[in-house]
Amino acid sequence: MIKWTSCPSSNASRNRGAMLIALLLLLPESRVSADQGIWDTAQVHGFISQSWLKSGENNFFGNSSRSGGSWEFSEFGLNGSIRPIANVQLSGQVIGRRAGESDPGSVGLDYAFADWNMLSTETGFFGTRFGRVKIPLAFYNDTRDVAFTRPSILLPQSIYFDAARALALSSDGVQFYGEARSEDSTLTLQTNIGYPRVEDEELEIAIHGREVPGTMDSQLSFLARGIYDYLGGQWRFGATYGNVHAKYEAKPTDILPSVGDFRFKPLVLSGQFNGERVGITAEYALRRTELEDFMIGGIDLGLPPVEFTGVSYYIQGTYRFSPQVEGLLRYDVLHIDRKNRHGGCLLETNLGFPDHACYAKDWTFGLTWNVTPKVMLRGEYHMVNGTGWLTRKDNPRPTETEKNWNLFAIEASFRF
Amino acid sequence: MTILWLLFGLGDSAAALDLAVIVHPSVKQSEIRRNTLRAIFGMRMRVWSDDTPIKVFVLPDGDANHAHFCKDVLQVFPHQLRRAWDRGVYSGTGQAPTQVASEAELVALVSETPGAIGYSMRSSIDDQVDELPLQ
Repeated sequence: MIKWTSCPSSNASRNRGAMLIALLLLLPESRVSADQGIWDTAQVHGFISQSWLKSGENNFFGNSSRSGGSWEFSEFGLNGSIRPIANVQLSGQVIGRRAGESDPGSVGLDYAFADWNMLSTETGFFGTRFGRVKIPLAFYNDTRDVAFTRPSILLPQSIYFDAARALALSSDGVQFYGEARSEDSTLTLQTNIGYPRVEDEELEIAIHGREVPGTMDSQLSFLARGIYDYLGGQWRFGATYGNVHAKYEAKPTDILPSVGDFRFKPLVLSGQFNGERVGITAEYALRRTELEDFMIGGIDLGLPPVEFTGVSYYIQGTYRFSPQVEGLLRYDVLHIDRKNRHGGCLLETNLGFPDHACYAKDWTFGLTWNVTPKVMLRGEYHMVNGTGWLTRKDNPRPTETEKNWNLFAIEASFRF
Repeated sequence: MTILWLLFGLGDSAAALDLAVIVHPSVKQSEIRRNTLRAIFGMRMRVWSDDTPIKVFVLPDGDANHAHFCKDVLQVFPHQLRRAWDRGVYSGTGQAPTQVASEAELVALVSETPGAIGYSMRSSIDDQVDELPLQ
């Protein structure tokens, strides 16, 4: 089943994307520089990935606990870019994805923007991107759906959770970016100001505890990331901070309590070492959530706001046995509420989830084989304690989930 | 510093003397910083100082001279460069460089393309391209 991910409330964002594509097609030929045709700068790339997942108890991305496992994790993407004039690039990408019950099949505009590199010198550059731009959160978010750019089949779920991922994908608005270079250091800054995409039922469940009849709309949000890079990427250190805002508009049929105003304020610190064979990556996140305007049927209940801060971190080591084969070991920890780390979080107290839904500790062992530059095979095994990042729709009865569970996954990916 | 290089397996630039950065004769620059070169081959810097578009040509990832160029001239590993290109291509913020099969083809393309940059063994350089020395 394929559907367009835009729900009715986000027609505006779909139109913005369509306008950008129109802009891309209608650019006047007269702006092409004399000695180089515009189409000489055009590039098209894409990828397709298919995974198989098998878990012992809980489900992840489909009915993975049944004997035959789950094939319901597929991703594909197609992108194009062109440079009509020297310092302008137009880029767009469509991504299709299926991930169990939480994403039964969707095709969406991942990004579409005009990038104006306003100033470029020997020591740096500055520019602006207009349109739908990827959200520059931590190290991996910008290309989170592209298997070749991930270290493993599943990104560390404590920070790059696939349950309720919509707000982290891309935003409609502007991005300011800049880079400053010295002898061996490079500092890069990116700031997004815009409206994040919200089309996701898992997001509704994460915020309201269930699917809701009304509509979620994103509000003007902001997110900024700085990365300090030493020796051409041998050492990288990053910091991300964002303030993501969404509102919920209830319908008269909405007879259960819902959240009218939602804010998510992540702070992520990132560090990485890239050697010839050894790579080490660690990230630490404080994720503040603020819920306000609790309502029933659109009527404000006058309840005080609820605030809590989650904590997430992982450390990951990779070892390159050969240019083609890389091993991975990672320990990844999530606490939904840092004041109630192993129980007593809102999920348990207000929504009846078991205490192990308040956290997850995941040991991951993985192996990647780059068969050719275009074909990659990957396998990994997760030993998880806690169910904090389980997709809710794949596990409709939270009380029946198991505290300790395992997940095995393999993936094949092709790109061009 | 020597210990650092040994530890990380990166060569000293003295070992790179047999390999040169080459540009189309239209490129006005007479020398270049290593970190600027990283920005160019990392596909982040798109135009020369006179606003001419930069066209980057490289050999395949597995090529010995590509690895030589990465490690000894840029002082990064080929897989880091690949990761940087992928980040750009799949987030829309960059483009991939043009990959060519052989050094002869690379030199020929750099000589024919205004704004082009690449690399080559010194022995393969002719007078159709300019060498761009490190600052």
